[in-house]
Amino acid sequence: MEINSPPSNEVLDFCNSFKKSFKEHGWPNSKIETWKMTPLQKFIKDSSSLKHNSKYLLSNNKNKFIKNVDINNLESLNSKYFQKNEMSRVILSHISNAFEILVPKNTSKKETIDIKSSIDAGIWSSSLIIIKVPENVECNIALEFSLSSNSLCTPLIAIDVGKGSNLSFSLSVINSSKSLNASNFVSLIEGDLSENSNLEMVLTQQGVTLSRSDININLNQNYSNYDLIGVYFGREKQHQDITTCVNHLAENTSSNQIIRGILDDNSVGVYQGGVKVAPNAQKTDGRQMSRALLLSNLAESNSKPELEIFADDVSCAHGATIGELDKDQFFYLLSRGVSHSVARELLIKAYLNEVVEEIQNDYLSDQLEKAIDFWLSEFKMKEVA
Amino acid sequence: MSLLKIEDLYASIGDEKILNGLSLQINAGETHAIMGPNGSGKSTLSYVLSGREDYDVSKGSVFLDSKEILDIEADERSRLGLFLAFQYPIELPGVTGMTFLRTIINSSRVAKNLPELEGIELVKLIREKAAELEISQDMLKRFVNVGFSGGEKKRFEILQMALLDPKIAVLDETDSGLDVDALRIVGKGVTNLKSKDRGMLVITHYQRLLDHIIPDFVHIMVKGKIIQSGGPDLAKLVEKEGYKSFLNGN
Repeated sequence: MEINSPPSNEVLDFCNSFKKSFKEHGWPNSKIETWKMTPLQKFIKDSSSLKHNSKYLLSNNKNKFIKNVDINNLESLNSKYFQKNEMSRVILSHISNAFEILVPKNTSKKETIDIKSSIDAGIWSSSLIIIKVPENVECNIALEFSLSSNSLCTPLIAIDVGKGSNLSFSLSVINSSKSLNASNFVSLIEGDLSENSNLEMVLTQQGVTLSRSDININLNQNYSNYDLIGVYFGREKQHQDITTCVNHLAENTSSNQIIRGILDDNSVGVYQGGVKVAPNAQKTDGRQMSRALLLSNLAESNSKPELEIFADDVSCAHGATIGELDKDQFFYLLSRGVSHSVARELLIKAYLNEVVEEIQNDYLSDQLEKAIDFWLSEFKMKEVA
Repeated sequence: MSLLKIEDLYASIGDEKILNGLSLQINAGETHAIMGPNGSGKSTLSYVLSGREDYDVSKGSVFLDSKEILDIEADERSRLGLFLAFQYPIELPGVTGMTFLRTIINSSRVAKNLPELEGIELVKLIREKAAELEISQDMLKRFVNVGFSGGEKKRFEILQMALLDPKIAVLDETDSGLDVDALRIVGKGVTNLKSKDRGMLVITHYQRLLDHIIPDFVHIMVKGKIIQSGGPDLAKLVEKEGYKSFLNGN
């Protein structure tokens, strides 16, 4: 079922007000610190020739949860978050779809909402999705973007998780056919967490020329928790970027960000992981760990953890490793008669299995396994060729 | 019939010469033991035979069942029937025992033009062989060698050997890291795998393993070559007198 929710005139007027600013400043450029490692101008050369259209399909009958965007919500989100980020003016000034997902209140049933969006050749899909999870509910939401060659996708997603609620959220970016060119994905995600709430997120990026996800999470109230498993796969000359910032703004908040990258051919991976702890956010537990696996001598991985801690009673950890497949493990498999290609596949799968094991929620681990299998099936085809 | 024939083998790693003209022939049904002090090149021999890339072979040849294998890659050597039980088995986090065994069994079967085994047939085969080595189902669900005890690691090596059914099995210091009970299980497992169609090369430091795996021939290796060969009594002599007399004579 298609989500048919063209932005209201009020929303359109609001979004149009960003046009002037976009004309003046254009896309974020490499002079901005967080864009230095991902030069958009190299990838997005002529966005003006693309037609504006955004199609979203609900795979299950959950249209009752979809509502038009309330202008007040948009204005408030803009003043709180969007206006701080250069990408928001790009997204809002080109918007062709906007909707809210309102998870029902007072339900003990765990709702699951699957949404897919295909972006065809010649299309720029720019959209606003506001996800509102009320108090004390559990919910699974998956968003999948499938891109074609010569397409652009720029979603702006705002997530609000109410007191005592758990949201398991998956965002995946995939390619609609094997080899794409000029298919670019640039997203901006803002998350607000209330007391005792939990946001578990799985992000996977693969197959497109450029993929960049900016994720900003605000742990606004005590005992809120955020977990991210981010996995990017690069091949050919693809560029994969996951940039995050977790703001610990209250006591006893926790976050754990685990990033895995697999980079083949001439691909480039970027992880910029920020953790900010406000002066009053005592007893914060903030962790991040990124690992990149290079399958080719020409692949490149850049990792930049950033910690800003203004409270004195916190526990924060970060780490980053970049490596190749382990030679001893590889030889062990060969010595058992396993061919080079099967050994590589097995070790790559093992490397990713470790993060699948970290996920408690079956719905999210299924989403991740699906993305891994999709990538491995194309990787196997390449190995055979 | 000769299953493994090593002729005048020289090998080095970097500038260090390790094997210096080693020759050895193993016929079908025979079990040979190579004993030698630390640094005599025993483990290097096992790696060179199995095709590890870090070593340079400057001279000599190795025939597996009459086929020269030195120019063949490690995976192909294994599929031709060579098996190395590692002194230090490698951990594979993220790969469960079952997945690993299924992969190696089917790699070997495909090479022999046999259909791949799946489902109940595969599980039955693995369970049967695992039981003989007192390997629990729980161990097969764990990641390969991760958190295994010394005994579990070596039993898992022998399980792989049983499943791959090689023509030549090289056991590198299989007794290292084993307590008395584990040594008995491993020794029994290996002995059960002795066959008239198979040759075995047991590389060891101590005689104690040879109480469990009785060799037909014992060779003393010093400075990269075999300096004396004999029957099982030779191992007993080493146990009694150490390697000193052999070293002095060399």
